[in-house]
Amino acid sequence: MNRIMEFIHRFDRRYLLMGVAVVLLVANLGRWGLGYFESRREELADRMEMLAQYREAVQRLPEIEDRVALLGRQQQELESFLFQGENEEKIASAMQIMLQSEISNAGLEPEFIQPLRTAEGGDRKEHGEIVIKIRMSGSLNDLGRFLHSRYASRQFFRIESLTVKPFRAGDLTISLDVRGYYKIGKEVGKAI
Amino acid sequence: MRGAEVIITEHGLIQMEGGSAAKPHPAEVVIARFLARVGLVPQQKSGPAVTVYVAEELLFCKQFSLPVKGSGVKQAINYQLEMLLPFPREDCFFSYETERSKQETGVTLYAVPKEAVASHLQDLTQGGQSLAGLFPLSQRYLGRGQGSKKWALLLPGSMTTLLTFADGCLRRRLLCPTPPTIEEARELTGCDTVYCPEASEKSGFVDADTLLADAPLGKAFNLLPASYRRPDYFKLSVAGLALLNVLALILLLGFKEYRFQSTSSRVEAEIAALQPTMKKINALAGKESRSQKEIARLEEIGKNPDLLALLTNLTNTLPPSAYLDQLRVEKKEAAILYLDGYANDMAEVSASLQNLGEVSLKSTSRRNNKNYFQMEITLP
Repeated sequence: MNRIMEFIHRFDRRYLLMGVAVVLLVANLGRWGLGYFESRREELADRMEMLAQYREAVQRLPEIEDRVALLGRQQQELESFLFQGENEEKIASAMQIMLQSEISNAGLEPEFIQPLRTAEGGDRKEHGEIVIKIRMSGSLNDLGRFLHSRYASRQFFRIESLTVKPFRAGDLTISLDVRGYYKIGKEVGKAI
Repeated sequence: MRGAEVIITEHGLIQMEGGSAAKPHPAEVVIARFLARVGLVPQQKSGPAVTVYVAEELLFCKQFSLPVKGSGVKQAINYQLEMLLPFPREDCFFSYETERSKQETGVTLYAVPKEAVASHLQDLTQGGQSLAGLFPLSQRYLGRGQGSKKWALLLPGSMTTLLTFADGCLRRRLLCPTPPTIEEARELTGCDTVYCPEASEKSGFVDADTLLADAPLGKAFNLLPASYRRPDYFKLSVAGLALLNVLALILLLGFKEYRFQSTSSRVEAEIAALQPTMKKINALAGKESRSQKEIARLEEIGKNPDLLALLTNLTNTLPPSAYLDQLRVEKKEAAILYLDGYANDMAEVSASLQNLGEVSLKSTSRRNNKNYFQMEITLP
């Protein structure tokens, strides 16, 4: 220890401190430089990884396009069963007209056709559904014709419930709840 | 290995024999030529280097203490030099060594008047020799061999000088009017071993020529001013190498940076070229996700039960003795058929309706002399 102190004492303290400061400065600069290069290397590695992902994704582009086209066709096919119109009110009206027509054509006598619309901003939603309550009378054969025409139609109504009760000889009272589905958009023309 | 040595005494120059390392190292010669050619150092005669020693009687020596430390010592010595020296400062060569203690700094100052040595130095340089250093004669005997031992050296002359060394440094210098005996020398210095040049075995002194086997340290008390010194090619080469290292480091960093930039710009350019395609892929992925959700939602709606087939089956399977009062179909999670009606034999009705689905008889009662039943059938 004494020798070390003696060795240190041979030098001017100012130069000794300056030397220590220079060594520390160089060490800090080295550390900073290494950190800087390391962070840039990591950044470049990230970008290269991103590029590899891009290349892979670009190679899969035709496959994605084919898949999206197929899904688009499927969606279009399924949406063709929906009612389309500018707003819910118009669509509800169109549904009633269609059901009225089918009931009359089947020989049934409608007592009432009443749509139950949801009050909360139905017009703003792209997709929606309307429940329609129907009460009518007629024979069992008339009901069969109506059901046949309903099943044959492209526009879809989901039958929620059907109640058939005898009314008088040969006549039945028929209560039917159906749920129609729609999509807000430009009218296709054929639907309504 | 000792180089050429010259001792300046009152009587003139004494060339010491046995200097075998007078020639500089070939590498040193090459460096010197190169530096001279590029103009960094003046052209010099490439003569042998010689170390000059000055007899102690020609030297003025003073040992004193200063109550300062560190950088203040040099300033304090320079300030007091005029008072300490017996001759004008500009007319002498001087050198000093310091040793720090707890409270103060011990200083040993050597000086020699220029008139005593300048002419000899000029003769040497004009003779084509370069000067390696100008030291007190005592430094000639100070080599690495003594290590940290404490020893003394008696240098005879017109004024006998008794010097004490410890840890490779001069500790004490005494001028003796008469040459001391070995006992006196030991008592004065506190050392068991006292060297003396050309000492006889009877005197008790150890022959100082044995110290000359090692190369002199040549560090302390170099009185030679910078103008006489030959360039320190070692330092120059170290500085050159350091400069080369810095340049190499800068070149390396520059090359690394260039490679990084070129790779980075290539990657960025490729990413930029692929960006439109990636936007298209992202849009397609969004569209695919939306389509999948929409299709799933539409498929959840399900399909209607085949009521025509149900009614036909029901008509066919209901026993002739039974008839219905009410028929109700509800489609919730599953389609459920509720039947209310009349029958003579309930067991027959239940059995016949089994093929429609899972039959559950809810209630029976007696009305109009018939069995009135309420039945629930879960359709498949």
